[in-house]
Amino acid sequence: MIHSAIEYDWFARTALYKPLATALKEYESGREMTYWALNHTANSVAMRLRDELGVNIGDRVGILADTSLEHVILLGAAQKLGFMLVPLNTRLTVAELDVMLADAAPRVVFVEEKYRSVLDAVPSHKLATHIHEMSDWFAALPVNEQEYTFHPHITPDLPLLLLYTSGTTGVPKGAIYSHQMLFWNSVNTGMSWDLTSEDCTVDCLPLFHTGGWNVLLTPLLHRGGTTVLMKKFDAVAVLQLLEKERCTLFMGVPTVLQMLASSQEFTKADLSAMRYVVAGGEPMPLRLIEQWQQRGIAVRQGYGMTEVGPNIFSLHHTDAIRKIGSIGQPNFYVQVRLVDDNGHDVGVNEMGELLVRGPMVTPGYWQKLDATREAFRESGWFCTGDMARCDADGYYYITDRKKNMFISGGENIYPAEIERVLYAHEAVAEAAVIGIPDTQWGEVGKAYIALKAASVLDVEEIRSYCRQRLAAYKVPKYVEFIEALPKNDAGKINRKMLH
Amino acid sequence: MTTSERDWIGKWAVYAGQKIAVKEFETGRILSYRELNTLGNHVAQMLMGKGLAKGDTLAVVSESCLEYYVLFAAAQKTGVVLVPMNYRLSAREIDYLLADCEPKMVIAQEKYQALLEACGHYQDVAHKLSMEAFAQDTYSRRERVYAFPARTDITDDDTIFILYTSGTTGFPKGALYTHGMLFWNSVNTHLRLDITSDDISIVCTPPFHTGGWNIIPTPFFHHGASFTVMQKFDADAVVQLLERERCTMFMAVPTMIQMMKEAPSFANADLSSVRYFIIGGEPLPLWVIEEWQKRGIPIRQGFGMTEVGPSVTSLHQDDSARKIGSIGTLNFYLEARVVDDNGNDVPQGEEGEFILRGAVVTPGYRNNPKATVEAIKDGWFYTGDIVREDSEGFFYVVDRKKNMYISGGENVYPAEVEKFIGTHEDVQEVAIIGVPDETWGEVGKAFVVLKPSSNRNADDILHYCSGNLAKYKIPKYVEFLPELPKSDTGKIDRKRLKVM
Repeated sequence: MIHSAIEYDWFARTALYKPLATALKEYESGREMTYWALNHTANSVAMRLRDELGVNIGDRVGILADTSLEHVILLGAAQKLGFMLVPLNTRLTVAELDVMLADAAPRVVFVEEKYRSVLDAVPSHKLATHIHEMSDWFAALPVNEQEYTFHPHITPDLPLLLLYTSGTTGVPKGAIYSHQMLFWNSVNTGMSWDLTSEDCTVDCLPLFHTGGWNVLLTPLLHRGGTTVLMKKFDAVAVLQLLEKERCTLFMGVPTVLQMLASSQEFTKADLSAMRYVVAGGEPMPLRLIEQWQQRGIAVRQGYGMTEVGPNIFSLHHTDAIRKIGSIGQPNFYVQVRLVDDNGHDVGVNEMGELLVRGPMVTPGYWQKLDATREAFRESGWFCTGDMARCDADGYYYITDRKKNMFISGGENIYPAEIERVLYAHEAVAEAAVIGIPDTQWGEVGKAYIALKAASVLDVEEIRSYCRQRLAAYKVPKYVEFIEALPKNDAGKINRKMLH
Repeated sequence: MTTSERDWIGKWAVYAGQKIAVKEFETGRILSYRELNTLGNHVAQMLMGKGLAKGDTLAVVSESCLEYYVLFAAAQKTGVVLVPMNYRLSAREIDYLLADCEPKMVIAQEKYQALLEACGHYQDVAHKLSMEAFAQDTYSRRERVYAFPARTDITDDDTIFILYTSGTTGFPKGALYTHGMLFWNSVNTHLRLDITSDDISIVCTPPFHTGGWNIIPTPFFHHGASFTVMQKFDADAVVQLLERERCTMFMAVPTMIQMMKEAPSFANADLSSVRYFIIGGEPLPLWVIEEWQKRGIPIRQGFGMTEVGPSVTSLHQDDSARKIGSIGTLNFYLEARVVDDNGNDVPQGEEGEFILRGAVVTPGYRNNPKATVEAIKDGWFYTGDIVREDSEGFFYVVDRKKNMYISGGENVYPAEVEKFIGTHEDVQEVAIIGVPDETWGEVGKAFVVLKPSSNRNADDILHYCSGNLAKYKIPKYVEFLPELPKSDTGKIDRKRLKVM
């Protein structure tokens, strides 16, 4: 028997090592999958995709569905066949999805029944040769134990996932997540967080972002660990699961960790198996760190982004208080620089843009050469658009964002995208959106709008207009009408004055 | 601001500088990751100062000690190639290795000075250091801060170790162990053994084999874990240390765990922190595995070799009874085939030669293209081991194609011993086989045909070997025969010798 071209096919290996271990559980349905079943099912799916739907290496396969076992089965099939999995954001509007589907042009789209009408309304869905409702197609999987071999020529840079981020230009970009990134992110994450096959977590981050896949899920799949998938975050349910499954790790944005800590279940649940919680997105406030620590659970602040890793910095839990506000140190196979506007390295404690290099950096954006070139403008280093400083002990702090963006409940929100929609309204003369502090979501959007002469528009009208065109989390919570927006000397909108 | 990712110790000095990297059992000396790194930087400077460059060889003739690991750190930073030499070899054997690897520097313990002085090629070495003096000077600097810019142009294909194995032709071969093999072996080991920075171990396997470096120490350095190094295996001391250091794993050959079971401390030692023992070499009988399991210690067996890995397969502790005799399943980043004499795959379940491909395979042997070409064909390394694979992907070693036996964990190649005994003026023919031995697993037995009129006895033959062959290679038994059994083609029939 030949074991060849197997390096990228993780489930073939984990099925060999831990066939009877539970790879995945689905919280809502109670469905479970062993590593043997996961590999076997992924083989069947890969075979049917190839033989029935004509899917080949390099093709795109979309999925518009809440978190499910099928997402991970498709990832396994993508590793075996070499196609790109395109997880679509279920919270988007028809207009937003249309841009993505037109860009990705998937050969196949799998859709959950409840999103069928949305998909049907998306004009570019016609680009797909095959659209299948998930439960039908997956229910018809053949049950046999035949062994399949696939021999795609998978290269390190071959895309495995296409992960859309909105971007500062207001147009969504598909960040390529390659087979190589998956491996190196797993190595970096495993070394930083001491991951083993014994680890177990609950994943309630959506699978249309890198976080749901690559903060913990794929590193654990690489090692034969266990992940409980949850479609929608629920504080009480998560705490009960952490106890019941003897979970060792949990990752959440500060908003989520705050909701857990505020739950009455927090003090009751037996969390003795927990090694630590990982906080991503934004720095955790001191009081929240202390709440978890008092509960006997260490806190690991992390930092990451879709295009690089995602897990590229980590603050050791013993430094959580001493170095509060820091994102820690770069992971093992991550190279970083901080540079000024002229591309020169800055000194200790000086602020500069964070540049990243290494095998866990994206090869670029799907069919967006200009955006790719712009991101790598510093001779091969990925420019994150985040401003950071490094203290004398080698700990990094994010100090500002060069890119215009804010984070609401863990979602990156790009004002440019919202402003584009606002400007399209006939009554709007000028618009700017900024993030303002919010106790629950970290930040929320606030729109400043100057109306055209003789126009009338109220707050509810503009929000309802946005809701039709933008995912709910992007719709500004606050709207303020003003005479004119503040400008700098060059006539550009001065966002600082809005804050 | 970029650091070399080959410089593992440098990385951990940043992440966890205060953490213990390695302790020395005999002296109690300790090096934290910060100290190991600063000394690695210091020694890297020293090597550069003496004119050693990337690719130059540095031979070490010494028992395990902290400074051996400082040299490893320096090798990762500079690209200098370490050649750990077997101090149990005779001067004749060491001289051969010196001629082959042409070291720019030799660091040797003083007790091996005489041995080295007897080697003709030692005279050619530019820099000769006493390990004792080197260690004293180095260790005294551990509080200081030394910087060294680790080279960033070291590639996966660059050599970090040359590891000599005797080989089936009778001449030692220097297997090249690369920086790439070091990384992928660590990844493979981590994925099978769940190694993390919390792991703690004891290392008492000698530093001149791959097992002394690449089963525990190098994967541990990569993951920021800790271990105690012991120069000479002491069963009772190991049992006590396992308890005192709260060790999580231990690697041994079967002979060693047998001795540990008989050690005075064994009965009452608290070994609850041990996740498992890794046993290399021969497969263990089931009753031995069960005995340890009753003691709360799972046994993981595996298969490894200098040229590939070394870690190639691993048998999960839960499968030790169900898959008794198996070497386990193939490691993650490695490919395997089982082939017949023509290099064609045999059907699953049938016997064939175990051949391996992947990033943990050696690029070849130093100065020995012939041996390299014979071992590696189309990227596949021919192990010389005959295996079969069951339907669940578990491998079983059924025979050795290469003529070799294992004595107390050491591979002994009869060809090498025969070649030497054959140089005795009264010996007409000689054949060596391994025979079972309670303590050592196997020991050598020589069948000798003397020239007519010779009246030499066994002691004469053993005396002739003494000082010219490493002790573990010298046969325990000598039997004289009027002639050796031969096959039709005139080759010595070793199978018949086994039953004589």
